Amino acid sequence: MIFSFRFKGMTNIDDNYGFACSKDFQDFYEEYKTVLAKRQGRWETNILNDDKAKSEKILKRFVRKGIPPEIRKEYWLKISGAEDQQKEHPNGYSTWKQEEKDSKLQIEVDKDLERTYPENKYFRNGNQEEFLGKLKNVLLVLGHRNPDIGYCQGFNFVAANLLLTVGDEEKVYWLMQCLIDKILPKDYYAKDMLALQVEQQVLSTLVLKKMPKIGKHLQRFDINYALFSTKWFICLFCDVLPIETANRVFDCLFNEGNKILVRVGLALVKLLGPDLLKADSFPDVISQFKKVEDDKRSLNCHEFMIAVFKDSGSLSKKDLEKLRLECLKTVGGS
Amino acid sequence: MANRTASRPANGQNKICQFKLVLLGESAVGKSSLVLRFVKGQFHEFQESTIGAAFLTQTVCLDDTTVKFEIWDTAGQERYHSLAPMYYRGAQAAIVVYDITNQDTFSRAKTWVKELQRQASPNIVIALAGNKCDLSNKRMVECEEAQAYAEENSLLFMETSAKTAMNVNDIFLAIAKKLPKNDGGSGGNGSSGVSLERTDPSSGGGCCK
Repeated sequence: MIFSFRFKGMTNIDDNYGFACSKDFQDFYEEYKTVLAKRQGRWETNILNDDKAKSEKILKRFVRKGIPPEIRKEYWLKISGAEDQQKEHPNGYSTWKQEEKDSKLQIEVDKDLERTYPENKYFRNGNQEEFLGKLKNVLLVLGHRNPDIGYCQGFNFVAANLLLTVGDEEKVYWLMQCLIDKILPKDYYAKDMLALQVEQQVLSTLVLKKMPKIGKHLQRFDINYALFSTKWFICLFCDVLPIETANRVFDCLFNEGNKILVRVGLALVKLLGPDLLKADSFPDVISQFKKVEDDKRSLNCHEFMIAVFKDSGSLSKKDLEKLRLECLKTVGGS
Repeated sequence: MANRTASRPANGQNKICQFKLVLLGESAVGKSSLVLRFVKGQFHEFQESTIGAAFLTQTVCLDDTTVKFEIWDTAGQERYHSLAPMYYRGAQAAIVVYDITNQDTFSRAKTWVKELQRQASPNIVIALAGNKCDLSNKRMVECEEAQAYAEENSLLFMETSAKTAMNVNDIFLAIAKKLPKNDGGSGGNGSSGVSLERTDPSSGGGCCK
């Protein structure tokens, strides 16, 4: 199986995710497919076909090395807890799909459907109806079931990324519902965007602490982290990182929880560090952040994920929660 | 963000001004498409929704002055409203965009104008753009109505089409002309820009017919 990535400077070759491949990705993929085949075998022997319950530690190690794409489709539901939620409402999704939706929600969703991955072949060229139809259903049910959130621009990319990976719209809905209910920080998609600002403040604090040179450089140009990281956190790195790299982040997000988000943020800042330090004006610095989307290093998902865990060093859940509380005070929460 | 305005290089030939410009308006009215047309001369029938904001720069030449725009293209959805002040704070210019085929987007544009008048820099140059004027058969906002509103509020006004490029360079150029070029401050160094001088004077401004 070949899958492809959103990446500029592409070839005409498409893959199972429907994005055109770049030459760089093809080169990387030649090596990576051997790795994948090996991982698939190890997963089958050690995780799927082994009845003994796996310790959290072993599973974590396996997941961090990447869930093989074929296994991922089911496994995300299992490790995230989405499957349990779905079992509590076996006919929920099909019922909610039929229910009448708020007209404002419909207008907002409709506006973004065709503006979601317009370059992806599954969202264009004849496949359009099927995929856009599924995307619309997921976004409407999600908004309908979470009236406090409604539709948040950015959900379109998250849902589309999951659809391209998992395929089944009901599963995608439950994965997103599970993200909202259980995995992401509380009120992550609230209309006041406070939790988002907290996450950005956490990132800024950790950059200063762990990469003081870069942190001070950004401070010098008065760079508010919201300017470059809003899309990162809202889209959970979908449409920011190439899709397979984003999926590797989802592997960890569904298994370990939301700590991965700030870790990936740190890795991206670190990756851009040399370019950021060379930039000597506000527009120059800000423009560097756009490079994330075209960077070869994020294309190599394997090395990128190694960097994600290395760059952020140890970061305990307890310390992160404490830091979030402190940041909540500074961003103006009461 | 620092305010950057004008400086005259030692040779005195070409003055370079940098201005921060922000695009505001309801979702899917064509803000990103206007910027893409202005900066890259391109148009995509389906333009990805903007999450947060996108930053681009473009330089234009105006008589003896080089004007460098630092453009913040913001997300249109209501929930991103709380982030907007971060983008328009310190901006010297704003383009408030609506879609001529959708009356609600015009009301939303008026709300943005009010907010800018109340909270942005007092000298901000505001332009109102009635976009998608290639779709005049679906028109819901009359040009005269928007023109009158713009005059009452001292706004620059043009109907634009990112698709056909109608009035896109013109609106940026009109803003560049209206911006003060004699403030002190730190500028860039003699980069050459795209000349946007209008060739057909009859195409200037106002409504598309």
